[in-house]
Amino acid sequence: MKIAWILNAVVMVVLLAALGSGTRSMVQAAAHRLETGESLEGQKKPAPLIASKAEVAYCTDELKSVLRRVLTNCGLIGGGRRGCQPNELRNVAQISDADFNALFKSLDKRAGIILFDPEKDELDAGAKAMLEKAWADQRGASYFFVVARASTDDTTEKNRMYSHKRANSVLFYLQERFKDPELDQKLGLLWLGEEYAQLDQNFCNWNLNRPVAECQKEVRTKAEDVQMTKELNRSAIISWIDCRL
Amino acid sequence: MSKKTYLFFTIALIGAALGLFYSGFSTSDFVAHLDRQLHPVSCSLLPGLTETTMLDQGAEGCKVAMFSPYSSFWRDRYWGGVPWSLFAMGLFGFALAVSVWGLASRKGHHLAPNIGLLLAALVAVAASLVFFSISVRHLHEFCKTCVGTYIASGILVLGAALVFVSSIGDRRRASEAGEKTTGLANVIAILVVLVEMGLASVLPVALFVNTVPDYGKYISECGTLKSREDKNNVLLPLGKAGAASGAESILVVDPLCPACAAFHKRIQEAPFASKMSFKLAILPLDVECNWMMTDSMHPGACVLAKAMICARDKAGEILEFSYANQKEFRPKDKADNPSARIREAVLKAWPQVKDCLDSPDTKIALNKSLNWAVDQSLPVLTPQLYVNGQRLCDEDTDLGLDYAMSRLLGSK
Repeated sequence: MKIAWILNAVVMVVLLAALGSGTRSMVQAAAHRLETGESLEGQKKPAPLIASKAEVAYCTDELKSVLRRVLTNCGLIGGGRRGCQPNELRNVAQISDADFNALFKSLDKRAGIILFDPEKDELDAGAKAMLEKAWADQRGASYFFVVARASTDDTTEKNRMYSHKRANSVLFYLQERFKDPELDQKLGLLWLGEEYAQLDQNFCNWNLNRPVAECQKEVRTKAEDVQMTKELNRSAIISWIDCRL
Repeated sequence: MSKKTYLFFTIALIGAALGLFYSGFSTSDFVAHLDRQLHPVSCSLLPGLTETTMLDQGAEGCKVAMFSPYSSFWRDRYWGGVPWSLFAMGLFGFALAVSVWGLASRKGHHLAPNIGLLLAALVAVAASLVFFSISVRHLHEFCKTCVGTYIASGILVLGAALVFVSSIGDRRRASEAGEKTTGLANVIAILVVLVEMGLASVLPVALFVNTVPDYGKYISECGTLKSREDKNNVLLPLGKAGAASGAESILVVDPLCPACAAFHKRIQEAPFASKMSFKLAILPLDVECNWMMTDSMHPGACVLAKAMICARDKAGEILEFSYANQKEFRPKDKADNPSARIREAVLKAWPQVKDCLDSPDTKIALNKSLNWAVDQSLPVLTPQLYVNGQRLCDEDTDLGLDYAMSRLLGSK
């Protein structure tokens, strides 16, 4: 009988030792991995993507540097007055008319051109719809640009005034329609009059609030070309810029 | 001890060994997760012999069982809690030791080991029945390793009962042959065996509790909101859940994210939910509205997000609806974009949101919600929970939820 109880004690001691050491070693191994960050499967957890503003392919260093200069000098970055006039802009952008337009060409899918009647600055229904749609499509962009122009029909001063009024029409409509308290920090107004970076036929393919008849023609007379350019420039380009500036 | 009793002890030994084997694997899987990482689990009637991977669909039942609140207790005191399988290991280990001892000493027909073995087997069967009913009623999934434990319990109780019955004759014959045991000796022997059973069951738990590290320092290292101000009013109310006066709790969700649905359910069913005041931040992982994504993880989520914005005070209802219909809202193949299907289903259930759904204002509101995530520099993943501005770590959303929440809510 004594042997039986001794055997019982031995078996129980072995059991308790096995249970104890097994439990302890499992927990200690997990604790070690917890402390050191080692993985049982040897895989490192990838760092998560952090939410950020958009930065798309067209955000070249050149575009960003021009935009930064424009935004700084025209009042959006660092506060101050809103808007840039044509002669100021030429100094601020520090690039030629053609290069300025070329920078914006990559925005063709994102931007729209609002066309105005001669000597007018009222937005038609198509323009309002386009503007609402464009403004609502901010996505990860930080700045909304309005680049208003005028055709060469009138005097330089009058054209400057028309383009300024067109830019303001866009601003006032957005203010009234969306009442966004942050609008001031997002919207940059440029009015170029007839003096800087006139649009050419390449802009016919952009999203327009109404068709330009001459744009549809494959072959145009010189007069039709002039007419088309005038129509395209009685306008305001509107676009969000998907660049981190 | 008769040959019959010897045979029945062997049956009990097989049951106990199997039980120890399965409960050992369950414990090992559970304890492996105490490093706050995700691991494959052994979910097979032959654990250890089949390869395990994280994506193994066959392991779903075991994962559900392990992550459920029924797999462990004292979850608010210890990270993950104390797994019930530790008790099972101790109990089956004790039954195995008694069987080995009975066979080796040939004294297995004595009353004390008989009672010890039968009691251990009955406890194992009772526990198996309880966990089986939990699987049927609450989890709706079966864990194969657990099923192995149930089978082992059945074999053990069969062996132990047969040993008990067979030993009656053995004892009578031994008594007739002159083997005498007093009543007091029997009582003492039974007490010794019961103490051994108690020790075997409790020791693993005691050592576990003693060895688990302090997780307190890890709970608060997953970041905070940059600002708790909601100046653009992007956070949506989450209806009935939580008390209005509770801790400010922001759930960052994608209506089509399965992990969000599971997490939402866990949070709402948890006892601490009554101490929380929930708000929703929508972060659809759908490229249609979320520029941060290169591919849609949950196509169609933008439609549901917009519907939630339109419903505003009933956003929680639309979220529940999305969670309930996630299977139907998944793309049927690579080319399928379920947005139109989802839109139709939403408008059928909430026709009042029709005009709002495509309005520029709704698009702007959704954009502001996404930009809230940008302003807060949130990780682009769901679900996330912020309690009083403090982020609940992803590692603590399953096993460590009760532990982490009790600390984030300041009750520990």
